[in-house]
Amino acid sequence: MEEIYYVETQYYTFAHPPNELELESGEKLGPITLAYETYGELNKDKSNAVLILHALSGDAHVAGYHKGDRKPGWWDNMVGPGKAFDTNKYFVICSNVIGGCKGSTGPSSINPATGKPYGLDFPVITIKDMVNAQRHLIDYLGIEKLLCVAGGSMGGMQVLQWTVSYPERVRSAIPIATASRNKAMQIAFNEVGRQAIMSDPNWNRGDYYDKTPPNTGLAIARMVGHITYLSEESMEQKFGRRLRQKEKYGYDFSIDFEVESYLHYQGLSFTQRFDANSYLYITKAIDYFDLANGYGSLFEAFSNSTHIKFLVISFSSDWLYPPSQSKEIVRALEANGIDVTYREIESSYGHDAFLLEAEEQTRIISSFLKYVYEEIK
Amino acid sequence: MRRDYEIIRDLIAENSKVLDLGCGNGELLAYLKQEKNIKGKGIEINGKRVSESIARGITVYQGDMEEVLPEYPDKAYDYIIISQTLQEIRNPELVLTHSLRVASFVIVSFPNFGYWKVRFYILCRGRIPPSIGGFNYTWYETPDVHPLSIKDFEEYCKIKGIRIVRAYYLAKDKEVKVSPNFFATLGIYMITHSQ
Repeated sequence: MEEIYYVETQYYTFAHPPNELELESGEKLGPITLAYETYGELNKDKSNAVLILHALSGDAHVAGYHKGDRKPGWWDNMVGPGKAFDTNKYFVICSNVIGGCKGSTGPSSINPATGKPYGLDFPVITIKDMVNAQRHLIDYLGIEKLLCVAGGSMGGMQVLQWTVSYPERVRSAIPIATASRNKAMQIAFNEVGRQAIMSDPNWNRGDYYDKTPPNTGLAIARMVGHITYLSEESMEQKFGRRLRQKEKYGYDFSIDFEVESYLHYQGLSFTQRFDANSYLYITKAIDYFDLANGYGSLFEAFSNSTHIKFLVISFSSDWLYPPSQSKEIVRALEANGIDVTYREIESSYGHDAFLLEAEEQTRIISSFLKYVYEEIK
Repeated sequence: MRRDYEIIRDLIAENSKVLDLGCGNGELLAYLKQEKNIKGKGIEINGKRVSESIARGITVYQGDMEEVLPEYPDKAYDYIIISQTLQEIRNPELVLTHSLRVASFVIVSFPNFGYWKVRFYILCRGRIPPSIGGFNYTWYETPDVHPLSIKDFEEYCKIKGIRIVRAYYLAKDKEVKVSPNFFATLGIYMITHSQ
């Protein structure tokens, strides 16, 4: 039996006034706390550190178990002893993003200026701001150069931002199921989610922390989001037209189909672990993401990243961040003469495949990391 | 090592940049990396083989060479290798044209369908012979959509003004000296557009 791997979340606070973090919007934020977890041992020359970046609803708890929990971290099938990100070899760090609600400073944190939760007083943050904050954590951990930055979806956006904002701090990068910019359809789905939250009377312009939160709105936002993480094929396989605990149609508006019940459950359970305001801020950060912004083109954005080795991974049935958008990244990297491997994994799981297709990802990521690590030794 | 790989190795200069079209499991690029310290890259459409290449430490792009090759800049590579893949390509003309543009030299190898056994197979049996690469494909399974002979290829080069720098003819790993279009199973060429 596999040994149970216990881990604890740690916290790092920085950017105390007057040294607040300057945000892309021009506003300032501080002090900032980042929740993070680490796995494995940092080696003597600090050359084996891998930073893993999470997606929209993720957190710092990427793998292992918290004491008393029945479920492991969100990428436990990929991170741990002997796994793709082998914690026997590498020192793995995963940090929660700013704007989140999993221990890092976000809209539900106490605003030191008022003594009350920030709510909408929290400044709008971007992917670049998230990465700037993480850079402080990496400084604090004493790591000059990361062996690898890796992550899927919004995590992949942070990976790309790391290679452009701090290329000198990165040896290799694994952006998975992601894009260099959010396109119209992706923004559109996020906006539906935000409107669902903001139309919930309980939202109260973000001021609900001592009242009932806008759970209905957040649940609907999650339902929409969840559909985009699946695929037509995977939904058909999982649910088809099967009815939920009934033989015949109800001829009313109660739950008829399995798929409806599933979405309701996903929506409801999400409200128990996520903050509605965080959902607004983080989806906005995703929508603002355009790596080429300020550089003229994606090609020019990568012009200082030529020493970084890339492994770009996409999934055939991912229609939220389709392979075509990964290929755009690969083209811009190739045009810079950057060493980039591209793998499009055949899968029916849609966007969620990056969390589920562990076997094939393990095969290629463990090989890729092994060669990157050997090169520096 | 396979004789055709050894020939390709000898054609390639140390420390050069090499692109292998249809690199399969990356065996040839890994061999050239080890023997000639090349900076190699492969293009391969089959996902399983792409993963095998990655496991060998090869940089590889999973995709269709006909889609990506036209986007590569001129003279981006010293060599492009098309190893026993030409006959499987949907549009070999496009691939050859762009290869000659993207690389200084193109190394092409292909099974020779002018081989005498192929001729006699058709003549005597009146049926399409199984692929001569050693695979027993039927006509409806074979990936060889553009079978060609040594004569066909050399004539093509002549028409298109492509210079053949070197040519090798093999039959079961042995070099063929006379009537290669009749006796050889494999042709290996280094071609270029430059004078």
